[in-house]
Amino acid sequence: MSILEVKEILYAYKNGKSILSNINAEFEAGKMYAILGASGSGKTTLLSLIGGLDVPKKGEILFEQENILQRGLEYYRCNHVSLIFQSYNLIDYMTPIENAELTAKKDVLPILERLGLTCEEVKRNVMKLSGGQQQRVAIARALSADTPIILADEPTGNLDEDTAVSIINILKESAHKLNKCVIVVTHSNELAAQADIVLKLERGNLHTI
Amino acid sequence: MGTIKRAYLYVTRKKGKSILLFFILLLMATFVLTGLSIAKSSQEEQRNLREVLGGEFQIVTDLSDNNPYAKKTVDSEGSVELYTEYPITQKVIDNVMTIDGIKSYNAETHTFVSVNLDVFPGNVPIKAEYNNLIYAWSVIDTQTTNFFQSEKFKLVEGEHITENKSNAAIISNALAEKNGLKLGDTISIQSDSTATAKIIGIYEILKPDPLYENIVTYEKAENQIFIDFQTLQNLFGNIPAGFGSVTFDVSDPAQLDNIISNVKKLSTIDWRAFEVTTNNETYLEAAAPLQKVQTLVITMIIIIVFVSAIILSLVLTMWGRSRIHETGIFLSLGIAKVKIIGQYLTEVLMIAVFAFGFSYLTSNTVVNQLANELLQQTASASKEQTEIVTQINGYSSDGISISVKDSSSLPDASQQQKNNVDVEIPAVGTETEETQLHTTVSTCSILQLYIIGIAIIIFSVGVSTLTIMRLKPREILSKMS
Repeated sequence: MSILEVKEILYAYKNGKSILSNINAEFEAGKMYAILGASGSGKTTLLSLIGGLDVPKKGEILFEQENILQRGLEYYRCNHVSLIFQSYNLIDYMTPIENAELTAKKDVLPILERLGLTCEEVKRNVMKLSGGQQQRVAIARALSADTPIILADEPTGNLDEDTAVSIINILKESAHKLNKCVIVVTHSNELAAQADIVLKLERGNLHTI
Repeated sequence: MGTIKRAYLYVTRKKGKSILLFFILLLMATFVLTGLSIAKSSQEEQRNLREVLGGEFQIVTDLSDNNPYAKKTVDSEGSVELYTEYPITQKVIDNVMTIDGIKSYNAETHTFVSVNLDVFPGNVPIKAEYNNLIYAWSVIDTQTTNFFQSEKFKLVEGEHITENKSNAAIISNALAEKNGLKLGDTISIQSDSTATAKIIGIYEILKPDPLYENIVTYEKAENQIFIDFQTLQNLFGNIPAGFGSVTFDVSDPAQLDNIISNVKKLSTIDWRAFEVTTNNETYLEAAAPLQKVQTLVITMIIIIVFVSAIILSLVLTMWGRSRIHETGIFLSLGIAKVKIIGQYLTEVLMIAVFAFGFSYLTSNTVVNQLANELLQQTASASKEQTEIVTQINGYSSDGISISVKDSSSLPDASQQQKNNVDVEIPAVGTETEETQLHTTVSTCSILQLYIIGIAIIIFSVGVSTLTIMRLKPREILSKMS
């Protein structure tokens, strides 16, 4: 049974240009999804809609059969979905622990350690960590929020190959071992190959490969 | 993570911004607190001034044609006698005293009487019939008369005439000695009728009449006798006796007009029979510089508050733009807008608590200098008015002198009114000494500062976050990327 359902989504920019038209998709827990698409195809826009950062012009997004607007997007973002960005989006005056604690519903230190951060690193200012370490902190923040859906927008875009592989494995594990629904937006075929289901966004339409 | 912890982390980690904000708030708080303290001190000084100077109004019997109760008799020799059938009685006074704000009163009247005593003759020849006439002063309380208040006379034996005394008299020790009288003896007094009064007090003359001054018998200090109101009524026979004038002291001269207005509303008194005159010019003129300082300071506080709010709003808006990224992250994490604004507000408030507290020290160092600088500036403008005060002093020749003195050494109000000799008022622009506003920062002013400061901060944070909070999270995130 799907945890998240996207029904007949339509989205257009303010200038009237349509970017998404009649998008339908279902996402299940315990699986990792990859959404592929060329630059400007609307991948990030779709992720923003699924993440409750914006509202579609038409259609609806259902979380466990309930429209996410029902309880409000703030509630949805706080309780049901976590976002991981390409640029990490960490709070620059906080340590990894403090960043992870922002929306944490469980103890963050074991999660950070499991993701490979040392005791010394977790107390350092996040801006003094490497890109890979910062992305691990972002993933730790998403995992510690303990939401059933994790959305990742080009999570390996700024990372070297080894680190990227490591991050992909963490996301896969999160889906398979922690029963999360992981949706990754990427233009990397290598990353997409690791996903359980690959979807492609083309000319405003989403279809399974 | 809670709002307060996020705010605490920001304040402690972004030290540069926090220190800069601390100094902005400190400057703002110092100005506001200084203004509030000066305004409060000015208010205090005015209150002290009011207490010390007091104010008074008089009710006087109107003997003109306007008074329907006024009567005129002319005897065979052409002497005119004016009197009223509706005089100022104790009942009238009691009615007036029901009005709030009136502290005390002093009623007196004097009338020509002849006594069965050998009086001291004057050195001015007058008509034979006046040779043995003297003044009998009828009062509610002899202690409050100008003779005793100014210490021209001093009671040396017996007691004063008070409200509940009847058939009582007080005479001078000289008159008592000349006539072999002592306390408890009775004297006979004659006017329209004859009355007897027991001597209950004897006074000594501390300030005798000038040796070479021309003075008639009835004006000689030794011949003045004091009688109670009942004895006066006995002397008048069937004509209703009353006081010529009553002076009412009010605690707060600033309220004098209101009090008089309320007095005149008393329906139990027929005001066609009386005139009401006021006297609070001394207070008004003396308080003028302080009033100007207060007006100036209140205007200054309003300007400071507005300028502070604008500056703080601009600074926070500027900083807010650099925090769009952070705001976007918080929103994407599902942190409510209200909690984000709460964090920004808490950050400023955390710094403000210290800045406002520290402004106690900075304000204390500048407040006195600034207060007296302002006072000096208003003093030059008020110099002319001060001269008017001095002229008023000239009119008040009945033992009242006004000297300029530091207001901090103003004597206790009650004591001052009791003595009624030297009223020391603060004044400025004179060549002797200058008034100083002794201003200190009070707890009340600090409390006011916190209220005003918090209001400014809430306004500024609200203004600075308005633009960001109207955006959708995705718009913020696209702005930051």
